[in-house]
Amino acid sequence: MYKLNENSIQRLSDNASIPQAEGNRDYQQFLQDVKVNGTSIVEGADVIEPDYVALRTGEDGYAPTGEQLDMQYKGTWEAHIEDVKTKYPKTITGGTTIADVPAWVQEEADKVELQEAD
Amino acid sequence: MPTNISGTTGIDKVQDGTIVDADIDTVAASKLTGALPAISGANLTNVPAANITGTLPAISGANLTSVNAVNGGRKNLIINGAMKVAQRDTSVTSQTTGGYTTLDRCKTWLSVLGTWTLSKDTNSPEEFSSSWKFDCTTADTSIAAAGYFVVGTTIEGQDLQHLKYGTSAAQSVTLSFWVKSSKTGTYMCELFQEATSGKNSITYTINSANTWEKKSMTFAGVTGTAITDDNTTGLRVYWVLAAGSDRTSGTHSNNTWHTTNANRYPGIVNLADSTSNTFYMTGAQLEVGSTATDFEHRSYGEELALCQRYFEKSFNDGVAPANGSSSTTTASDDGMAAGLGSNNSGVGGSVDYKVTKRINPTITKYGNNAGGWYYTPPTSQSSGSWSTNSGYLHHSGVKGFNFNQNISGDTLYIMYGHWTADAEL
Repeated sequence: MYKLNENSIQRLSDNASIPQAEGNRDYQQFLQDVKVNGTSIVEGADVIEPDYVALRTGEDGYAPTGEQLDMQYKGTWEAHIEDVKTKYPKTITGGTTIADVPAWVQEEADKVELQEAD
Repeated sequence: MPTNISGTTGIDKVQDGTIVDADIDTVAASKLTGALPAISGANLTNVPAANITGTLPAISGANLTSVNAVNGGRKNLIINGAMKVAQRDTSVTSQTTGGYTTLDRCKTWLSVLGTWTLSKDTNSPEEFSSSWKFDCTTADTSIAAAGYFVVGTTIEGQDLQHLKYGTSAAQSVTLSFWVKSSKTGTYMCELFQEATSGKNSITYTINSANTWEKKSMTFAGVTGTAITDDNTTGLRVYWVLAAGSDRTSGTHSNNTWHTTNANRYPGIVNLADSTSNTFYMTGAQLEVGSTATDFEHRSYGEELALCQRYFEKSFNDGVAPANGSSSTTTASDDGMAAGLGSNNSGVGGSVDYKVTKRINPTITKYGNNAGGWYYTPPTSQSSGSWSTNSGYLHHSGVKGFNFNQNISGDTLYIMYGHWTADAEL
């Protein structure tokens, strides 16, 4: 069994990280295994959904402190805070889901020839 | 005017005369006594090699001219042929499938043919200190047609271009090695060209049980197809220990390149037919030419560096990679990979390999019993935590990799754990 990660393929039997490198024999074995067994032996990558705290403090959340001070001077600060809280309500609790196995896995497996044993 | 003497009385001697060469027919060796006169080297022609016996006199090096060059420089194409380096482990049991398990660069191809213990062993000829041992622990007296047990090594194509395969000047190569087995009989070695799946096997005989014997054989070059010039496999070198009818039912011809599986190993012994069977080998050398020259001994450090192109580990030499026995212990505290400090949301660092890898390698982490790495404040190293995230390796390449771990709190951390990087063929 394998699990896809952002930069590699994780072999679950020993947690080895296998790169998508053509000449890597473990990557070739991965493709061979998919060719024989299908993508059911592969789990998609984790997709981490941020919670409201991460979203409010992220790039699209609250403005930097300096800008907020300026907003307070201009009287727009409360509206900005309200906008962000509305945009990212506390009902967004985040979590981790598992993505579908991308199409390239089967496509690359289809390209390989079954290896001669010895 | 010549005088002919006939009859049985003969004459006592010829005095003050000359007998022309044409009249000296056969002189018995017993009549050639005393010191021979100095003879010009120019007159020593057509002396058969068979007549040059005994010990040659010491000859000044200055007089050794026009001697054909012996293979110089790095002549042995096989890495770890003296069976010294065993980074993965020194012994593994219950082997029923192939792979890299003990000695570096030494691979087994095994399928439905007995169960084996493989090890690096100290039993060896005087010239060597170790060997690769195969011990049958579950016999197979009725080999499945598709069964095979082959051991050997692989060589990168870019390191074989001087063999000139694919040209009319394709070079022969000679394989030599020491072997010892409890089972006498006919064995085989084989070259396998990856580009064509071409095979060429040659027999050898183990004559005496449990006795070290040196064997050698010469394989013809391939004129038809070149060895691919890259970092993938160019040639495989096989020692064949047993095989089923898929590979033995044909007709064998020594030193012949072909692609017919059935013609590969006809007549070979079955080393798996008894749990009493053992097989040792060492001193493996593959060199250009048709002569098996003395083994090219390399230092341990040099051989280790050559092996590390294909496999490297953070563990100390002699320590097999393994996880700890519990959630809070590692298998070995020695030779830990270095970690780097950070604070408030992340700790990470990088590992630089000692030797650039053949290909972007497979990395396996070792730590506690789940493979987790330890991260801890440096001032309180007993209060750290074990990583459970197995996906934190980044930017892995042929020269090294980066790692990181999410943490919380505004504290300086260090992080450490073990790893292996596998770029084998």
